[in-house]
Amino acid sequence: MKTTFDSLYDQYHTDLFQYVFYLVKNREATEDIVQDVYIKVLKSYDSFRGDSSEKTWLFSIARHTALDYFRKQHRQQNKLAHFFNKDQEIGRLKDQDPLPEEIAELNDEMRMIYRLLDQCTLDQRNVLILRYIQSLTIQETAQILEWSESKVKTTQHRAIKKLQQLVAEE
Amino acid sequence: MDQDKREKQIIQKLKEFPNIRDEQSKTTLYQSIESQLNKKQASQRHSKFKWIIPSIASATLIFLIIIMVQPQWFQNDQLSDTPMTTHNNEMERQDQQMKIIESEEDEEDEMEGFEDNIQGFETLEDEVPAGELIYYHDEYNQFPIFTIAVSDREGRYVIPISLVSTSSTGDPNDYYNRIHTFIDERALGVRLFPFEEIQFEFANQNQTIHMTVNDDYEFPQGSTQAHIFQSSINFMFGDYPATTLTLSTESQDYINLGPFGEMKELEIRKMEHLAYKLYQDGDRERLLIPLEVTLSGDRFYTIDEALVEMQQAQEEQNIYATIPIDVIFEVDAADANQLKIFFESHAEFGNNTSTKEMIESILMTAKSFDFNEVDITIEGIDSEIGNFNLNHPLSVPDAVNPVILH
Repeated sequence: MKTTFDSLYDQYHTDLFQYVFYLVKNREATEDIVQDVYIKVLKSYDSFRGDSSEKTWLFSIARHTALDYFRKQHRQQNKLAHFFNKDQEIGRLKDQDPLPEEIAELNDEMRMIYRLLDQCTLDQRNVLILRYIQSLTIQETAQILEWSESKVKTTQHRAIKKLQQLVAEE
Repeated sequence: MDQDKREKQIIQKLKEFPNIRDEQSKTTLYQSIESQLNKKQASQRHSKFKWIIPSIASATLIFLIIIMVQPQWFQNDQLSDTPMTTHNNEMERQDQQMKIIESEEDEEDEMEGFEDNIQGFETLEDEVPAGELIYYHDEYNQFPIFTIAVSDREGRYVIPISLVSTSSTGDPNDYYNRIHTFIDERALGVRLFPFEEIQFEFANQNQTIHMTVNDDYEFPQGSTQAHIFQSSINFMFGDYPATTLTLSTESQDYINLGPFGEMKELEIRKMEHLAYKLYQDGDRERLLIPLEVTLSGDRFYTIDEALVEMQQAQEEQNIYATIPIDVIFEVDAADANQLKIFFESHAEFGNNTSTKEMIESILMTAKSFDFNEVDITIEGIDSEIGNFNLNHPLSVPDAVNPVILH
């Protein structure tokens, strides 16, 4: 197990951490999700058949795990919404996550784009992160998201337009 | 500044986002993972053995009661052998042509240069590859299959869709909690029950399936929705060991399921004795649709009844017959393992899509009646229809309406 972990970590950990972090934008949550991903992967590594690359398989599992995180978070927010009875409170919760040092050091425009990513849909964020921040190909992105390549192109196009519109409105 | 330039600038900015350092060392991470894995194994071991003491105690008690109360039972040697039938289902492997159906986003369809056809299945007239409407495991890759369900556009019938997961953990929790992401309702001409408000949890090696909703959950109105929901649950979970779906909200151990009332659990019934016809909304994709009753509302007790029903079209509901209405055929269902069907010649029969789809629908219908293979003879037709070789009995498929997830 240690050998498998070493191999996966050495090859993909940096990219995996980036992907999850930019999705959830919270360091602790990222650490938890990444840990869960490795647990799932190590438990099912023997059944991996290599039809997609190891990397897209790993990222695909990361996406599912992040989705679970969002689902749990959504349920908690629903509870809070019930408590506060104000939708605005939920929106603010997200913004309370501290900016990591690497982002805090960026210029205003970059920090604005980082913040506006939250206003894109999860699908759009997935595509923007994988295609541009992670520089994956359309084919790799399609495999990770379990979509057709045409859907990746479509979502990518819409995501950029959305982001552009949000920047213009600022 | 023109549009293209602005788009390029945004893309460039995204590419310039920095790497975020993981402050946790590799060793610390591995130790946490190892400890989590050990904890899980320990709790599995614990749960595996915690029943032993009460079980031994119960067994001993039952044994003592039997000895004291009914000693004559042991003298009774009139034990009849239970006939056991072992079905050795050697699957014929067939090449599959598979298409991916993808869900689209909820936005409008304006694509400006990115207009791509994302329709899943194609209607083939000249070539007739088997496997569009059905799926067989291949010899080397027994990919996990997760059956999800949609309904026809009118919301009257449930249509199962089989997700074939070629690379994943195989964990059903990963699939049944995002059903809506796999289905493009517009491309398929179907409707999807609002599953996104529902959380399913599979546990205890899938012997337990639990459904949770928020406290303020409102079940969709109307008895049709209740019927669709119950049928969907049956199609989705009928092959799992769980026999009931337990229900709860975040704070209560029941869910108000509209017309069903407040329910703590819902029975999961395996869907059997079905007649598969073809569903196609306009020129959208073709799907096999299983029907539980005849047009007059009677259930199918024998496969003959189902096959006769498959000759009836319900065009106003976009449901089409898969067996020509005027063809004569004979059915031999005497062998519980192998169904035999003989078709007399008919103008529509040939190496074409409609004959291939007829065979596919018959195979699925036979599967729902627990047959393992079907021997089909069509008068005047040589052995091959697409990839089906009629010289040999055909195995029933592993799944219907497949969507291959990569």
